Amino acid sequence: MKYKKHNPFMAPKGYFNILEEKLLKITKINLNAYGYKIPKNYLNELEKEIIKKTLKISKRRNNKKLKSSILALTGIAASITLFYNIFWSEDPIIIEKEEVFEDFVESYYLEDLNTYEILSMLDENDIETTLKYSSKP
Amino acid sequence: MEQQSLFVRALKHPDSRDEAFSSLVSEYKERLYWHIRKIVIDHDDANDVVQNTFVKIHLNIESFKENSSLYTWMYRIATNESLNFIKTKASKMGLKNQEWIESLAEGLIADSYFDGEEADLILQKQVAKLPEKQRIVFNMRYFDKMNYESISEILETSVGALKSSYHHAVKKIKIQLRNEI
Repeated sequence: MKYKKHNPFMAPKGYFNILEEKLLKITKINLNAYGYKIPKNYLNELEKEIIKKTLKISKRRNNKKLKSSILALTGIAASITLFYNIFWSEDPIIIEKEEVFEDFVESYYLEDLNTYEILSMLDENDIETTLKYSSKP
Repeated sequence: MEQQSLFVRALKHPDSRDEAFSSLVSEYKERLYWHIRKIVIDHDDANDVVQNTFVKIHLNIESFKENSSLYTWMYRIATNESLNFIKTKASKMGLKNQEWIESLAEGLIADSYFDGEEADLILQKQVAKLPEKQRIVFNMRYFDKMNYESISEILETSVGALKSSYHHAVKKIKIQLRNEI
């Protein structure tokens, strides 16, 4: 006896067209959630709104990264400068008290300033120390 | 799963992130909106929550470790966002979460974004009376026809507990509906 392989089950005529419609309907009902509605065109607008928001966040994030890297670079540059100045620069110029005094006297002669003019250039503390200095025997 | 990994990689990579995210939004916006809408009830609230959800997804995609599917992870964020939203809104109004949801369901009849029949309205009011967890499980199982395994992954609850939750919810609704009709 030969076995003929065929499907013994049958479906009503045009069933699969109706099935598709039915399935689409079920999905729609499911999505619309038993009475809930949304404004017209809402979902398209929603997509735009979300993309706009997230783009803003991305931009802010990138700006933050840029700012922090600029800050880091500035910090490094400042540290290098400070390090160089401390360890590699030439000896600092040390001005002795006598030199200052000489400069002072020099300008007195060169610029032809009188005593009152020089006095007006000194503040009270200077005058005090000058006086104290001069009052010593 | 491999396809998901590629997509997640595209979402994480700075060069392809924007394009991948755009297709993610267009693929899931509707599903997530309806999931959220059924939890928070009001359209404007759902609109706020769905936007916050996508912003959170965008911000946290780099920390997504692919222990679950992307879809589950997004649903989990949406659920948590919705519950946090209800908590904040209810406390602002000086109400308990449950009271706030019940008041929203009572107002559905006047909601311009609700056009269900009387039976829908009665059902929504009864669903709103359920405890928070039972309400979410009921929504996902009854309205969204989700299987217990997926709900279990999203809510991080055992299948047994979910089945019992759903069973209790259905029982309560049946009793309430009998009294109502």
